[in-house]
Amino acid sequence: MRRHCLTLLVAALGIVALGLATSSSAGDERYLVIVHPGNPIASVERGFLRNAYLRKEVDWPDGHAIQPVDLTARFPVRDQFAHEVLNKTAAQLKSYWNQRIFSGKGAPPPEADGVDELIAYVLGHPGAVGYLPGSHDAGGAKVIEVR
Amino acid sequence: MGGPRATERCARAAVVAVLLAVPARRASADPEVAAPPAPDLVSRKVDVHGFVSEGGFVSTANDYIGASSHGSLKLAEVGLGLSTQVTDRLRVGAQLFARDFGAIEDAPRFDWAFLDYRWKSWLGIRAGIIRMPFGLYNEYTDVDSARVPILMPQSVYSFRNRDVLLSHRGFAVYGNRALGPAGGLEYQVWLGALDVPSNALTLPGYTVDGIDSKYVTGAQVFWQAPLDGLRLGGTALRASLDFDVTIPPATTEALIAAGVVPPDYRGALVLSLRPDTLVIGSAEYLHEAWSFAAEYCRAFQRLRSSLPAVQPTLEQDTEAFYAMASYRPSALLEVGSYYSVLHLDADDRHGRSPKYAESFLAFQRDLAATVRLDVNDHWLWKLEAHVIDGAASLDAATNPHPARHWGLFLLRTTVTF
Repeated sequence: MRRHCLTLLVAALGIVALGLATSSSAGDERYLVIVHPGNPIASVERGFLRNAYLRKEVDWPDGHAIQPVDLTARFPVRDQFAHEVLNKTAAQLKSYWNQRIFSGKGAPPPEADGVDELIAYVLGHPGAVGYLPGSHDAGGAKVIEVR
Repeated sequence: MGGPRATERCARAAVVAVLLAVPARRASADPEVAAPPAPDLVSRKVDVHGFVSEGGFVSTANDYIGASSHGSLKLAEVGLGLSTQVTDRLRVGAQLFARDFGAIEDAPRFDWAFLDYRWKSWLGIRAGIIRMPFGLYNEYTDVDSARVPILMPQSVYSFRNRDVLLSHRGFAVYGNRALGPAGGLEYQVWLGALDVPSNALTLPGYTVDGIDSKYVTGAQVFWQAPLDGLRLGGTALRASLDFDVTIPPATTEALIAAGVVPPDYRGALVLSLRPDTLVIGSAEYLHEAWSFAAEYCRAFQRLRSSLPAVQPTLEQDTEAFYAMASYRPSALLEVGSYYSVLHLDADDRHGRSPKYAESFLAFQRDLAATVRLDVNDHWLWKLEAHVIDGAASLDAATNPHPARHWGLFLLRTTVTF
């Protein structure tokens, strides 16, 4: 067992050293979370929102099916949202969806290639939830608090 | 075997029929909702996905994954799948998979093909050919783009067992339950039959004529801890398999001559693997660009035969565990390493029993390191090195004189779409 521990320690130290020699950080752009104006909720638990985007939670408390929508990867706020709400880096999120797709267990949320397009999607789907750059107007969608 | 095969054909036909019946494009969403018109973000009603992998490997000694000691380019895998969200709660899909993986060639077959009805967050049901939940990664072992190593820790995710534990035909119930400040639970239970191709297992000295899966059942629970990124869980599964085999003619003649079997005996034998029980504890932690995982597995197996004089009952308690870490410093690069240990007999980790010709045939310790390069979102390369002590997982037929210390090097590229 001592041999196993020593080998593990050497491997771990090697990776930690490489990690310390480099750096990685998500952006720091703030975001707003929006839902359809008819959705009665005013705030949502971060864990609930995470599970909604990972397709583990499928219903709002009122029974409507949750319809999450993403922005495409060209929007920095996407990484920020993934980091703070989903607790995943872009690569980890991609890996997660590859696992789901190739095991038949689900597909990622649809992607909007523009903030206005995302708002229009949310306004057109009673169960939709999306996120915007914090500086952007919600355009008639309902902004909710993330607890 | 006729019943299950007929059921499987029906399930496949049903899945394909549903997929073909779905129009190629989705109609405008929610027509009952008034203006503004919602954009159609889901451009394809039927999602098509797939991957193609090719690679090569060479070992410094011993033949592993085929003739590795001479080098080999047989590290190919191909998958092609279709899936669609029929309604908000009903999903259907199928995936074909083929591989030429050194010593193992799989003709195209269904990896999975099932209907998935998600009634509530806490209750869904799947029916068809379903990937087997086992540990953190068994459902995703073919998804090269979803992991860092080329070879997952082989003590737990052996490429030899891939076709045995890959999937089952039957039913699964699953769900997700929030526990408030205590985190959340993910769970699934299943019952079905294994779909084991005849080339999936080799029994030295026997010709395998057929494999009959009686059942496989199991349960898996993961606890999403309040600490972000931490998952702890366990899986238990139990299976029962019968192997119809034929013993070599020379052995048959010797048994007849010795009076052990009647003169008209033709060499047929039934080997029953019952029970075949696996349990595994799993832990995973994701933090920023770091990923950590560790699992501990035990397999309890009893092999009985219809002729104990020829094949006495064998009992085995195998122990396997590993720890793995990876780090992604940039979108292009990811590095990872693991240490994986296999003990064929948990009570004899150092191979002191006389049943081992060499003590190192009782264990295998594998220290691996991988560099992964993501050229873009769809194309990646991996380079991997293994330093191995022991030979417990080697095929004795192709390694009559195995080396204890050896190395394995692999290169692989994968395109995913």
